[in-house]
Amino acid sequence: MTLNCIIVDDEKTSRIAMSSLVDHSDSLNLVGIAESGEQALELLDEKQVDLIFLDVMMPSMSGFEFLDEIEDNNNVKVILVTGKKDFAVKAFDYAISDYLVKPVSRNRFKESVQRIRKSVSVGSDSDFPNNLLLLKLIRFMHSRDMNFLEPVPSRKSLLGYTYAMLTDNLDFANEADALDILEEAEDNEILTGKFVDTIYLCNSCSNSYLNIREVCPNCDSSHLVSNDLIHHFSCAYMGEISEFKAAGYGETLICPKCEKKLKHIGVDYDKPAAIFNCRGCAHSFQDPLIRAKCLNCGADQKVEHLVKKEIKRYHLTAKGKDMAEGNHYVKIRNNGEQMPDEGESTDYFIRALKNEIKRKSIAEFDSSVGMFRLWNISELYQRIGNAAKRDLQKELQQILSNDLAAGDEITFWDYETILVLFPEQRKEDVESVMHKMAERVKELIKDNFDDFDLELKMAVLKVKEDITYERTINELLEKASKSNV
Amino acid sequence: MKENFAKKITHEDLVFMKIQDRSPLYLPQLKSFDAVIIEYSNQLATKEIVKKIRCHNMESVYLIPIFVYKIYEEESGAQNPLIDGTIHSLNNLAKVAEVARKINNKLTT
Repeated sequence: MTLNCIIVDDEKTSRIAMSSLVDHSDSLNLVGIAESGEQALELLDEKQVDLIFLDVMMPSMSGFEFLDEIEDNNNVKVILVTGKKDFAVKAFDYAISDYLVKPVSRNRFKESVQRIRKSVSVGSDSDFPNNLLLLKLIRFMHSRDMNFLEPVPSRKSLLGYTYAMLTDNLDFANEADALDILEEAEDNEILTGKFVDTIYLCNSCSNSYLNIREVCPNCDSSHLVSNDLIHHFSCAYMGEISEFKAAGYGETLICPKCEKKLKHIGVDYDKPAAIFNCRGCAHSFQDPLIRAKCLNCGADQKVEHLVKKEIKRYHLTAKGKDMAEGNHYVKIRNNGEQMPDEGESTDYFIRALKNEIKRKSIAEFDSSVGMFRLWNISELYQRIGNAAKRDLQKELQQILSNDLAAGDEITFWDYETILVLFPEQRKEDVESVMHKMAERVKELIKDNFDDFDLELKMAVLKVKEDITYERTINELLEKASKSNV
Repeated sequence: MKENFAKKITHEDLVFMKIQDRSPLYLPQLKSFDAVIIEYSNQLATKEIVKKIRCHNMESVYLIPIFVYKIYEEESGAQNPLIDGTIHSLNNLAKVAEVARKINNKLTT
């Protein structure tokens, strides 16, 4: 889950330092910077903000005065950032989420953001930005007796369609979140949807404004000229129409082989196909590739890699009305940009590995830990885009889990690295299981992306009582990078 | 409230805030009104201010009934789904009062 945050600080150097910390965090999305409390109030009006990094000592409106102004806004978390420690008690009175003293260290910052993320994910059901948006939508629909939420075609929208309240509350770059929210709401029977249209989106930025065109299979250039191919029945000559035009005069076509005049299409000649000539590389071919160029982010992708989505009109269900009246919490899953297994599962894996290392020191048994490195997978991720990337990772995790025993643990360490813990299993046995898993991964990639050759690396180590989990993982990384499956 | 831009209009038991679409507005102050009437000067400015209200985080702001006051009708395509109606005169607010009451009743029940 990514939190939208703003920085409020009157000092330029502090603003730069904080924005650098925010930029380095995968969990944060910086939506604005304010030099004063007044500017921050304006930002709160304009943007969907989940978290504020707030300076205390500001000239026209102090951090605490700002907090007084937003006391009704329960949806936003605040981290105070100040040069003095003296405000800690007062900050406690304001029930702020955390307190950072300048200069803010990277570790302290990370710890603070992690704490906020955790509190958001276990907090009230409406804390997720998506839940809040859905709540806004259904309260709006219900209060207006709106029978249907209609998709409105719009040239200015990322998706080509807008939904009242939803699209308005999302930044242009995140407008596709509206579809995720509506899909989840439908799955949760809060809304029912009726098909209106199918759209295709850029797999990188979800934009629907695409330039779809034929390109050369040799050099990917779209600078092509097409010519009809003519089959002259009487002499069986087949050639481009330009040859027949060159042999003829005006609109009259003459066969360059038998020199007869072509009379009627379908009677003495036919146009069975077209031939393309690439102006870029002079390649001639009959079957061009069809590619879609995104006019928002510029990504050029195969049309089969575009993301297909359904556009529907939605109706509020009885359950949805109940939720709108506050009789039930609004809760849908968060569809944010996250790995299938990010966060808590990785923490859990580390705890399990640490436990295994500890157990080794008091009992006599063999445990193993393995690693897969999908060495060149980033090339594929880039090609297929974010949505397909997430689906592929989910599928990878699922397929790998099939070979695991009940006590085994698996986690995505990062987008390219998978860790597997095999408690009480010998290294030799684990190696054969890992080879089987590697085969499955390769098959999955080959079945879905036949033009991509995955370079898969793998390593297995015994869990040792005198080697820390960090060293174990580092050794695996090193060993795997030298291997080849 | 900045008197130059915003005006309070009382109709029976309801209090409306009337603002111009290009005037600055501190949105949380809307929560003490029953509805807001936005005086139209151009499509973009009205659209912007309506969007700002509907994007606010406070429920009493983002759900407030919004009416657009246009002296003359303009061919501007479909009506903005985020507004609750259009009026052409401020002399008779009975119709919008009825709509505002209906919405506010829904929100309080």
